[in-house]
Amino acid sequence: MKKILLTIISVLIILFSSVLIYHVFSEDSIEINRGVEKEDSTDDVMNEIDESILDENDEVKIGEMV
Amino acid sequence: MRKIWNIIIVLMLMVSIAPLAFADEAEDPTSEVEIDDETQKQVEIMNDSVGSEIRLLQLEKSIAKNIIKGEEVVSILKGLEYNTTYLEAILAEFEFLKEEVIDVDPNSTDAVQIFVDLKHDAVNLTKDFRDALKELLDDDTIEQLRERTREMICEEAQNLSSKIQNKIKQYNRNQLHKLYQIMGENGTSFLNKYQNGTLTMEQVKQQIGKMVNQMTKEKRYGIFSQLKQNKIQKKIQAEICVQNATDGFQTRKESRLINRLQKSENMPDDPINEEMQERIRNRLKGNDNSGTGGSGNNADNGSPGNGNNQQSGGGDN
Repeated sequence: MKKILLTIISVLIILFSSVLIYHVFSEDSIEINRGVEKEDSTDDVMNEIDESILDENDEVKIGEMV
Repeated sequence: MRKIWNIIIVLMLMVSIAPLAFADEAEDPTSEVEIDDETQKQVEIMNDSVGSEIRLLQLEKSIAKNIIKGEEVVSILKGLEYNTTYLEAILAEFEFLKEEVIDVDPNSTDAVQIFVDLKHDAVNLTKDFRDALKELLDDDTIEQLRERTREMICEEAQNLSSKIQNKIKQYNRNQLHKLYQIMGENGTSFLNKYQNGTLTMEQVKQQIGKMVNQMTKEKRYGIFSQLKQNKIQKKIQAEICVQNATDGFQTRKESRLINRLQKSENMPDDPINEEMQERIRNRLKGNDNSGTGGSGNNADNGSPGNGNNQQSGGGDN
């Protein structure tokens, strides 16, 4: 019985550690990706410009009546 | 033995709490209304007076289009001898709403708040109309109506479209003018050509692209940083405005409904007007808690029942 309980505890510890490690790892990789962004390429500048202007056919959608 | 069980329970709790602890965004339970991402994005340009005008005109256009479509549906259903009082009451309220949108001063400090409020109303009235139709008609008839109204041309909406396009050109011109200033270039001739329609936005962008390509890495980075900074500032501003719009949302909604009710009571009595008053009173009593935007996931409380929108025995569908 004690063995089973110890196994359960070990599994839970491993599970919790995995969640923790995964979270820390994913945060790190996001940071790393942010760091390596090529912020100086023409495409990035053009993307920023695209985001600052409006599409002439842009509209406010409120849904269809039928 | 007991200790071991306690450890197990604590560990299980820890595992189950972990996802909550790492959740990206916590929901604010005090928030009176949930504003969808689309609306949040839309208000980003409203710190600019032209941007604000654009959003209000776009909302007016969408409302005008829906009113025209709704009127077409009502006229078809009247021809089929359906009782359309309830649907007409929704359209009458839509008319009030359109007037409210037209009356908004785009330069006022609470333009964002009013836009969010009125868009919310427009989404809900549209949903009310759709729901009322669903109670009145079968799926096939609804599909036929959808087909008939899909490509409807609304003169009012067309006029608004050209007005909106001009405003968007003006807004884009201002944005690009700022960009040229950041780049230390003079793009007035290009911008004038864009605004009077001689150049398309694509052509202007190509010209800018060429200029950016010829720049040094440092200068490009400087421009990129400046643009990013402007974008973040806009987002923060929008976030603040949206937060302000959520505060007191229900109170403002009630006062809008009371205003509409009073306006309606000052009008000559007729069944449509009475139905609209009934709908508004129901919502005031029911303290509507619907969320804003997108698919209108929560309807207003005014139920399409009341015996008014029952099929009148035509049996045409």
